Amino acid sequence: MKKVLSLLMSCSLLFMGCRHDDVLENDPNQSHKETGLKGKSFVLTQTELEAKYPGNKSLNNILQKEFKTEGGLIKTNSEDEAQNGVYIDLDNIRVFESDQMHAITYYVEIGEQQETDEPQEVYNLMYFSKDYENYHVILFKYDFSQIPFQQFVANPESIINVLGFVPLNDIENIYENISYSISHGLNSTSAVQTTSTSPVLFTEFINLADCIGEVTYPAQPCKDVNHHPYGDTRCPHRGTDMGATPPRTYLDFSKCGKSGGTPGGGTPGSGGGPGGSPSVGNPGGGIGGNPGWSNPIKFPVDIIDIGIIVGEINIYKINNNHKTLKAIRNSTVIRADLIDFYSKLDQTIEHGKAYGFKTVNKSYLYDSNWPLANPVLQDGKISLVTANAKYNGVIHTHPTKVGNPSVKLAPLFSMADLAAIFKFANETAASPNRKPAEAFIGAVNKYGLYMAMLPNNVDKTNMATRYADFTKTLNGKVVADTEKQKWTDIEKELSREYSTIENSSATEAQKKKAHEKVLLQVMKEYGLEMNIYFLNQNSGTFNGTWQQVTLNNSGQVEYININ
Amino acid sequence: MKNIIILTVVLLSSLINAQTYTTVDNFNYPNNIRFGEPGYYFKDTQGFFNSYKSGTWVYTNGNTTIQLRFDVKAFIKNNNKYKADALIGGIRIVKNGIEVLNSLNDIQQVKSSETNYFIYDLIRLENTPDCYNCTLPNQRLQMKYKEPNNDNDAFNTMFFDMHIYYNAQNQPILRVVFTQAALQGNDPNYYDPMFSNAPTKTTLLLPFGTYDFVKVP
Repeated sequence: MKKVLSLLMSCSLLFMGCRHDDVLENDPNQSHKETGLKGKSFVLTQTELEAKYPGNKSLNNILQKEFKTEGGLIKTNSEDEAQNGVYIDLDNIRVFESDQMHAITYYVEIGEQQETDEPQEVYNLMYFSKDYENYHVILFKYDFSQIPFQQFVANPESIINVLGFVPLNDIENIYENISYSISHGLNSTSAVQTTSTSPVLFTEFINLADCIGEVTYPAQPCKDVNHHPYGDTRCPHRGTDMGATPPRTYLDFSKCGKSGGTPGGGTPGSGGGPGGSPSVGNPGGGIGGNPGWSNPIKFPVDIIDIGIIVGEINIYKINNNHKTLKAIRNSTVIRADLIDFYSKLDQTIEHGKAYGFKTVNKSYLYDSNWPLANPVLQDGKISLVTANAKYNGVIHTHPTKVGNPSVKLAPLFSMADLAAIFKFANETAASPNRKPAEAFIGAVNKYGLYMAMLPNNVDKTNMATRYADFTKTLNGKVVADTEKQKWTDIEKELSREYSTIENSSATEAQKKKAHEKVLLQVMKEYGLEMNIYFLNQNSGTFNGTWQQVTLNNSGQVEYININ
Repeated sequence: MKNIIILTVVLLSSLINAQTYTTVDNFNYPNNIRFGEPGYYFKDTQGFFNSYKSGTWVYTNGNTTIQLRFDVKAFIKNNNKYKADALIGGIRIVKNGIEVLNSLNDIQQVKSSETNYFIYDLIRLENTPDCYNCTLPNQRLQMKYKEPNNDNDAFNTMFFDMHIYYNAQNQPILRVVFTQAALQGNDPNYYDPMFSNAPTKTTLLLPFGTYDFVKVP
């Protein structure tokens, strides 16, 4: 029997000893090769891209001609209203800079690509140059039907199995050009097969394996607590040095010799194929007189002739949080309301309006509003869920004191505020294209405007599952269930801490940060995934820059500027 | 011998699952921790709740009698992350000799969280001029309040404020202030058919008002 007891003791100790996992992380740079093309990679908006290379006439020629309207404005086309079914993301452009290569990679969406967590295919439009003067253009197509996207990110050496390209017919009028090439090129019997069954660009290069120099640089995860991989929209640092970076592949054909040329194509809209070495000037295209533009890439041999190419996938998806925040900041109507709200913070009642947005002339813009009423005899609070679901959400005031007699009101979101967001995250007949991440609840307080939004990767297919602890499904809609345990616990913890902070003797700056920290900590503790943004009131003008308020690795509040 | 084995197993498993918490006061905890901080027991070390929990509080006006009863319980919260004492309560309302509501026995039940009771403490309130006969700082408690079998979403976030004061006869009086502010902007007659079912009730059994309860043993 002693043995039985000893055994039991040993088992228990063993069990206790295993409660702490010792995990060794792999060094992400372990496989990094110090050869190949050295350079830096970063993300810019179209405006920033223009500003970064003011002296590069060739590049500016392209940027002006292809991405600006006749009026000189950047084509801020939205995902919802793409030109010719082609959407090019001008807010998140990946740029690679080195002595030997300049590559500018745009994320392109064609037609109605299905939104999924794991992309099935990705189109990238890349302008690249070996000398910062002569730019080539190629439309890459990454096909993840055989090798899933995240597997590719983890093993970028598999690029030859996923990368292909769509031959472009011309260089100018890039939107129409892409549209035409996609609709015609996929079914053509072009020398390069780009159909989904045979998408591989480098099939023809396999025979050249001995002469191609290939160097792959692994992807780097997001530098946040969770180390989200490249492509995961939950990374709060996207577009910054802290953001995840894609894998990069550098192919050098310089030892493969020159090609013998390929026949001209004569496709509509172009002046013919390259007809030889097309690396400089404008020998075969139909667009004479545009310095710095070279032919589009139609054949693998075109790339061989150029000599080197860099593949750096850009899968930046539309960030519906940022899109909506930008529309709010750019609306003079909403800004006037914010200024008005701010001036009423000394009143002991709440004020608020619901706001709707729509796509107008390629842009996502403010559309309409609806003032929320203060119920009589209720000491000044307003109900956010009385707004129609056609609106994206509600912005309301959190006055310093509320009610009669007035009592201190917490500046940040209450449980009821956070719960209200789900109503506006649903598609309805009046909001047929609503993306959950377009919904918001805003609070104007003594510090500025705070916004709570669902993360960008929440969609109508996963919202009910991801928020199962906070919602129920009713009539096909995902609605907050405030009787659920987590909501009531959140309510109590937030109420307690907000009250403690507000009644403390801390300075306003300290209180602001303390409120933010408590909100973020409590949401994290209970797994309530919401993004918190802040727009400083800037002396009541609200003309500043949006910041995402988040917790860093040390659990401290940090602010990330949103472009 | 069997008993020894069972006892050993029980002891060991409780050892394994035992979570130790650092005890701090439920309200006056240190600034560097927050309410709900993992690893802490937010205990009513000052006995703030004690004056509420003994006996039954009774309010009578004409044909209406209301009884309130409280208890203090400790709850393990958020998957064993922290522990907290809470004041929970039940209510009984008799109108014209008919009992219309009785949740007094609810407080004797064992539930996983105070928020599963019909009445529980939320925060302590700072004293405002309407705090009747308040002599201590933060004397009032804000209590969450809901009524059984009421499916109206407008009543989900209700509260009342209460505190104990002493009258001229030095008797403890429980003052409960339950106003329409408890609705927090919600309209009991409003519902959006796309997002909620039509509520079967649009009124409460406890009328809005200010009540003074006396204590009976």
